[in-house]
Amino acid sequence: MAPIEPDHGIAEPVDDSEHRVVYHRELDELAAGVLRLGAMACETIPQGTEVLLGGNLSDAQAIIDADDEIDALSVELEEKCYSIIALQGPMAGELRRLIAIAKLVAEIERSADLMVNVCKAARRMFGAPLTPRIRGVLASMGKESNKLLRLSLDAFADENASLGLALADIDDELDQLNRDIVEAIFEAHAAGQIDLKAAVQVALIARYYERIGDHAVNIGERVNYMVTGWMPEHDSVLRAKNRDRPPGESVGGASPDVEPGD
Amino acid sequence: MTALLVTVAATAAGLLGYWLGRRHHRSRVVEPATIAEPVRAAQARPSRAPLDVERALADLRLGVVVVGPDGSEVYRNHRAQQYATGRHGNALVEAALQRALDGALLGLSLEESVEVYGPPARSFLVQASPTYADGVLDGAVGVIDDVTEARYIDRMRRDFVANVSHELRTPVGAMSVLAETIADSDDPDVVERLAGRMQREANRLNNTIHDLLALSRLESGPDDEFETIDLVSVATMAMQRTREAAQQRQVRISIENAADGPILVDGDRGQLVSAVANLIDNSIKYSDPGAEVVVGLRSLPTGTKPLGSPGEGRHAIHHPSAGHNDDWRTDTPVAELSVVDTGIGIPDRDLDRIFERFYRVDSARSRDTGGTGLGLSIVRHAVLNHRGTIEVDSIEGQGSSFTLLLPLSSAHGQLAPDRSGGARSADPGARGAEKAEPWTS
Repeated sequence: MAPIEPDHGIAEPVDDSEHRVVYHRELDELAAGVLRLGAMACETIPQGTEVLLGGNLSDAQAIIDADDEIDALSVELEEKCYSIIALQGPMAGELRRLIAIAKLVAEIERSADLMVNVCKAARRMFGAPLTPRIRGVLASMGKESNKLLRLSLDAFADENASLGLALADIDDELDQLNRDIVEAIFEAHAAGQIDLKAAVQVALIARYYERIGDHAVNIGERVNYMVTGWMPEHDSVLRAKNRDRPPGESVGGASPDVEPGD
Repeated sequence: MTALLVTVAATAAGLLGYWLGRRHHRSRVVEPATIAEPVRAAQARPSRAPLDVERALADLRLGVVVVGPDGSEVYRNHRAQQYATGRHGNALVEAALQRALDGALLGLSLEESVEVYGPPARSFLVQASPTYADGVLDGAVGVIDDVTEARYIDRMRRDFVANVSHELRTPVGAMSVLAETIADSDDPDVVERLAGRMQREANRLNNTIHDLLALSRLESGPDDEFETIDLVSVATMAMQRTREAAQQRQVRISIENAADGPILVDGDRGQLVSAVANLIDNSIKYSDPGAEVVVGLRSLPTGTKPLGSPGEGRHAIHHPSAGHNDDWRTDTPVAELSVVDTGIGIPDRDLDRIFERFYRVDSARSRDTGGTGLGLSIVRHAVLNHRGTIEVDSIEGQGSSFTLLLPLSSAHGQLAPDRSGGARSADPGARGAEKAEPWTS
């Protein structure tokens, strides 16, 4: 077995089977880590919703504390991405994959943060009674945002680009629930069943859930980029370029090599 | 449970011991004695024994993972495989297993309880212990046990004992205090009022005992003599039985029969009427005045699935012998009866528990409504006795829908040409009408 060459910086990976085995094991571990991080973040959603609707304050603290572990894992995964990029010189699809992972880890981590926000808001409005309709819409938002995040992780695990892109449409349901909650708050207020403080907290909480859905959509887009090299933002880039050009000189389809940007 | 785990650990350790033994050409057995047995057996028949152990482990309902001293995986049985390649909850179980195995390689015996919220919510017990050869740590064995059902049954039993004593003691305690007060009171008004309250408490206790007896009768299994009955007439009778309660709460009840005719099932009329009446009664109690409760009826031919598939927010109780739900539905013609309301609905976390005896979603409110806490248990058992299923679908604040699915009677098929011939076209079911004629076979 030949010793591993020290010149990791070169673009072409060293043709060394042991080296490749280590490299692929690192990639597999990274993917497993992303799924574990995703699972941890997904779990906080039903947990946090239970805190919100059941009012168990010690569970709220447990979720807030557990977020540190999620943060730690996301930092670890991101650094692993950078170290693989720096040391192994991945190309094309593999490079895109690593960059996509570095980006979507942040989206997952942010989703968990939003559930921490839900728990804190639940503590702020502790004891305030909510109407059955508000409770029902919040429960549905919890389920829907959990579903979206899970689907985005499925898209990642299966490298399913079309599922990744479909998330934007699946997210419509959650957006509708976000409109429903506003209506439910007005309805409760008209009936004198909710006070102003609680109403504001409920509206914020709904917004947190809705943002989780948006993060899931972003993860889906990253997955699509990982697989195909295209992101919806590339179309915007193209449109912007064409606006700046005189007519007749428009630029054709987006190149897969365009740097990801948002 | 513990005994089983010990056996598994011992078997796995034996297996590991054998492998290591073969590698190092050792002939001594591993301590303790329980671990020694499989090793001896393995040495007697070196080519076949490990296969047998492996097969036994493969079929086990526990996930078993064996690792070498450096943490590299030596063996993983079929059951444990799903966690290694898993995502979502399974990824968390695997992470717990790896933590436990890491600890075991340091010589610790670790146990971790993992609660996965899902959906579906599941509970796991993850354990790992070090394995030794000649007193030297040479690996670890980890076990994953899915304890979801055991935890659920534990909780149900615990709650039942607490609830039943509460339901029986509260009225008795109240009566005792009321009787004491009456004994000390000279004021006839007070005596009359307290006596009235005593009567109410006695009624409540009586209702509870009545329902408990009804439940135990149902639990003793289905009646031998099922007759062919029309579900439409069952619904009509149930509606008549709940009419007074509906009027009191100003709730309208209507029957919508999509089959436009009788729907025949084999069953016990009394049980079915009381089950449907219980469901309607619940819907009335938890609806606002002016609301409507709709009893929907239809028959579904072979190969047709009911609208909506079971998913989140929907829970089903099935007859154990009916096998998997979807098979049951697709292979058998089904009569469907649903009771749909627009009431306060049921919170998600209570959905899978409402069929338990004495389980109350909101104890303060439901005791006010005069229920015994046994209604849905009675419905559930009546449906199980009829080889049927009951499903509930509910969103808090939007309403609930309970759906009974019962196998259609073989007599129903014979009815079809008659019905299409228009013989009963004079009675188009009972759509929205209380005046529907009870049709009997």
